[in-house]
Amino acid sequence: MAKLTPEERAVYEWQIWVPGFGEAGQEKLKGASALVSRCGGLGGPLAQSLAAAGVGRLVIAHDGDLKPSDLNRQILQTADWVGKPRIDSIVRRLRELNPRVEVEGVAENVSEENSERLVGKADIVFDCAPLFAERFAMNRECIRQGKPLVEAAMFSLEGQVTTIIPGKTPCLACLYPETPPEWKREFPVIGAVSALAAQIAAMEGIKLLAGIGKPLAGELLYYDTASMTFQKIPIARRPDCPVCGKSA
Amino acid sequence: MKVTFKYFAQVRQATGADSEQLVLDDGADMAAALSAAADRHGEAFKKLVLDEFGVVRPSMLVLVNGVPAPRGGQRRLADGDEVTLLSAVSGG
Repeated sequence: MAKLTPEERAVYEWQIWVPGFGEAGQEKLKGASALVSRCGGLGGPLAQSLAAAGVGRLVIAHDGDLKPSDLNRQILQTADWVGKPRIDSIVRRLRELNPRVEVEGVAENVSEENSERLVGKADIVFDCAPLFAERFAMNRECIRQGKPLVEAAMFSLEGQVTTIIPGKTPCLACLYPETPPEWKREFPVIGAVSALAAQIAAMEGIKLLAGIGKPLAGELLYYDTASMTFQKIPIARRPDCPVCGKSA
Repeated sequence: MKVTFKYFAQVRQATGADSEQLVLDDGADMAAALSAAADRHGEAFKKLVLDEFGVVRPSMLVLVNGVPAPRGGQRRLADGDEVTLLSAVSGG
């Protein structure tokens, strides 16, 4: 167990006060590692919350340069950084927020080629990617390595979050076995909607790592900020799932 | 019988509506209900929700009164049921 220093006790005091979490929960976070892929409108606020909470080691995978159209939601970026690598800004901002946390920036998006290496770096994975190919690669590797995967997504004024625990819950391929027709890399969303999904996903990870609460296992949390409706939908494993089913 | 349809994510975009009520034949199943919705909303809806055989796409979640429905379309509907159509979305 990673013991806390007096300074860390002071920094994390408010969350150590949370019943059931305590110093033991904080020590579990300190000793944990997380992969966040990618780190834009969803992964950015998520990584920020994990860093602030004191998850000991963050691996951030995100390729590409900052575009003006990223700035409505990618809160780890700054207006003066347009045209420069997103990952540099992400790493810098996270280290500024919490220098006690180790942050490794990887200027890559998850793919079939690198998923084994990237997933292998962390205890838990957060899927914040826009492309289904990346998400399916992450899902497959998490199932193979037996690592929990928190799935978060959004569209327009709506969001969805679920937590995949290999061998126990449906995986992403059980839930959505195929890419939706004509899915586009860019889609409508307000930044606060993605940040909301991010915070729910961050809490899923913090709960799993600290061993508190009940995760969204076998449930899809769906919300619609147009009406502020939140709903949990039961989801089931598919026996014929090519990733986590009996024949996989 | 009257069945309420609730649309989310891309389905809402394709229909231009959050929800609506459709009048269906008594005892209609999900396949008939979705076919009626597709007739009403045209190609964008049809392409998103149904495959070339008129079967619900695997990228769709279909709920009846909040409970996931079997994918085959054989689920019988009753007067007053609420059908929810939710499409897969992503991060970014």
